[in-house]
Amino acid sequence: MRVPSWFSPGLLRALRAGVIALVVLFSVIAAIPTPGNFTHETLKQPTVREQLLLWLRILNVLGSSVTEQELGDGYVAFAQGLQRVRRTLLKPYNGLSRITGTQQGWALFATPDTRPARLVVRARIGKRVRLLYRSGDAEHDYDADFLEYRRVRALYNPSRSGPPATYAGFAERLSERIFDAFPDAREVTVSLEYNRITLPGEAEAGEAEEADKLSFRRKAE
Amino acid sequence: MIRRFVELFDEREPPHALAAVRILVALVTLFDLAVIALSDLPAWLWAPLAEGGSSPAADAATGPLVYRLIWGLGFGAYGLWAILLLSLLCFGAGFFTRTAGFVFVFTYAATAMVNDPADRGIDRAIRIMVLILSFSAAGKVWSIDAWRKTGSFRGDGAPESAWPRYLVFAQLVLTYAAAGLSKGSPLWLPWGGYVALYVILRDPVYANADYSFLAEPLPFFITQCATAVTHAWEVCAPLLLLAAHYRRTADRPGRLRALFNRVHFREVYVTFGVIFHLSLAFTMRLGIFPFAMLAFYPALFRPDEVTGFVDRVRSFFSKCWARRRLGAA
Repeated sequence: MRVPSWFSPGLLRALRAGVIALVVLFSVIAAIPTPGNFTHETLKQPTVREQLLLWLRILNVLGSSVTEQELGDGYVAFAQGLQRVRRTLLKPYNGLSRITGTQQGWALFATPDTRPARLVVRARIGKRVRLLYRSGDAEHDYDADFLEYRRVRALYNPSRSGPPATYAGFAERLSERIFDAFPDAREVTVSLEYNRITLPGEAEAGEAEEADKLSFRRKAE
Repeated sequence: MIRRFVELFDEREPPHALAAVRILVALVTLFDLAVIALSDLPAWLWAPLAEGGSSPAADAATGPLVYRLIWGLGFGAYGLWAILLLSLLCFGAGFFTRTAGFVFVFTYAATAMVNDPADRGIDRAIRIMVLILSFSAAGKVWSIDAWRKTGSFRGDGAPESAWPRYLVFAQLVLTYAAAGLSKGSPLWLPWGGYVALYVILRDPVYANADYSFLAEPLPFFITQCATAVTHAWEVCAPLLLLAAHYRRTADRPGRLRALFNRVHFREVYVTFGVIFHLSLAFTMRLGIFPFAMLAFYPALFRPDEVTGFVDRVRSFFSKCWARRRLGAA
């Protein structure tokens, strides 16, 4: 193929540098952390509210008279404004990053969970309900290697907005796996147990809270 | 300034650092694919709900194009896994490296679209790096492609475009810096008591052992120090770029330049990174994350530094082997 005479090596080098510069620019904009799709509903989540109250205490100590309502409203307005700007700037980049799965976003343990959830799996075998698995419980670690593998864990581990969309599907697949392994099992229950992590010197956490319970009965053959 | 920018991305160097990243990333990701197969997970992760999957987004009728193509051809979840495995094997071995890299990225991206929760940050990082490497000469040395072209797996080591290595370098810096800046929770900051690592290590889902002893005064203080250092280390990642510039211009004056070069800032940063990631691997259940991040590190070094390191390792093992044979004789 004959290259047009105006397509000089210098132009090619400049074009390449320009494309690379654009990729870097979009990547940096996409990677800059933002609060995300933050709304007043997000503020009601226990972990988020805890963080808000902590910031409120810090600001009050520094002499600010801002109230919880004002801080929450201000943060929501800031977060949503930032999200709008970011969405506009990244419009040309989003399609390509989606089909290549190369979205930037590196919130790695950005907000450590002081109320982590443990996966709890029980099965009714005969007349007894047996606790098969509970996260971090060495005495109930049935199929732990499988359940603790990072991709499987991601199917049930909740974020601040609750269990992932895959939670119900995961629970159903898990129940089938347990019914296969325990021919006498009649019912499997999968749930999440929310515990509070206390810091040294803090009062002991209260009872763990069990939620997102899903039960499955063995299908009649 | 624009001219210097264009010249920077016109630089050339042998592609050994990129080849090292290619091989290490492939090895780590192949391990993950092996775990998926041995755990009988392909259907769980990627099949539609009606076919044993767990994700409502896995739909053979409305899913991403690659996914619909694979299902339309009757391959199913294990077929998807096999395509990932084959393309990654070819990429890692450097066999039709570029094509293999692109096939791997687009197929891997399809798995992310049908099951977003099971696609973690490290999977995105791997795709970014493999995509960059697919545009590079990473397959021209230490590869089957090199053997096909030159008769030697080592290739001819001819200079190739250096910009892909610079991009991998920049992406690593961006990942750490963004991770550090994301840590807006007071738990990562002095006024929150620097308790983030303590909280994370007490999380029963991520911790691989009972770390309740960390509540004792000295261990707790150590976690606070580790939290502060970790956060600072991440946020300071852009200084790696400055350190690289200072190394290239070591003959110019400047106290800061001299300081960075005297303390070997890059080596200090990398050493901390290795210790940090290995510590994560030993204390937490993070899967391939620590090892995949370490797999990107060769891009922080020049090709001659990478080949020098490989030669030293080879020489060490040769001497050990020779001593063993002498001992046996």
